[in-house]
Amino acid sequence: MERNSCIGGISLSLKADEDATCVRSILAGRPERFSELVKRYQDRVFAILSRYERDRGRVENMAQDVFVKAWRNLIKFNPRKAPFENWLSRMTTNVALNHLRFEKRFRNQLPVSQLGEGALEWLQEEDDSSPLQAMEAREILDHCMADLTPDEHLILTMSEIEGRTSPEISQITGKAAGTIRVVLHRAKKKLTDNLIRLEGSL
Amino acid sequence: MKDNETAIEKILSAAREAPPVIPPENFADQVMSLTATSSAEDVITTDFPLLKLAWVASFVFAACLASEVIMSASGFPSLGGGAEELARACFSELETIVTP
Repeated sequence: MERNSCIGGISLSLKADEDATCVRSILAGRPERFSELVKRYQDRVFAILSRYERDRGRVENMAQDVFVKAWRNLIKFNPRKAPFENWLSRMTTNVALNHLRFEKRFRNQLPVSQLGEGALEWLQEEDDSSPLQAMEAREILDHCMADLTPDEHLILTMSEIEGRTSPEISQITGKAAGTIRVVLHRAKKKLTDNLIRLEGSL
Repeated sequence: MKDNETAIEKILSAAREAPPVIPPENFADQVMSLTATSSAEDVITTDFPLLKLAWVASFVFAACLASEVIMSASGFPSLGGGAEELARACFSELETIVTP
């Protein structure tokens, strides 16, 4: 077990070194090498963004935005501060947060009628042991998270969906771990209240 | 009646299983065509000085605003008034030089 984690550590460090070398080479005049970084991290960026947006086209636009931002800020990347992967994850989260801010400003809460049949059926069932499909869960979740602030939405998603720890969220968002815990508690409370309200309205 | 804590947990755990959007095959090419219009050198030569200039401009603005507030709070003439007074003094100096 120890041996495996050690090997994992070495491979992570090798990957970070490889990324840093790639960035240096891009800045030294080989811009075409940026496509290597895009290919290496596109799945990860799409996976993060898919937690915040269900529409394929919008996720694609946001992912493009992430990589163009990374390209434009490549000069600021410091491999001694954080590996490229973390730097890019932070940038991806910022794009997601901006997207949430935009959505909250310009979109009203979805009416209950917009929930799919499967989601509505699950909500109306008496016992909670009945199966729930992933996409139906996303629909319900999006509905119940509509009045959360962008920060609450982001922190709840990072913690409960992406499975990140408070220190990790703190590192990515730049907020204190204590603040993360408070925001998370408040967001969960709102989520429960909204679910009760939603079930009551059916 | 559902237990709300359990229901939330169930919704969250089902949402975790939602499949992510898969990048299109030519995604890297799309990005590269977008980056081709702005090279790394462009970023260094245009973005950075502009950013610095914006910071300097906001610092000067904040400094002027702060001095205006402090001066008016302590009863001194305001920045506009002070500048007017200074200009008047300069002009009167000039007048004495031009017309001895």
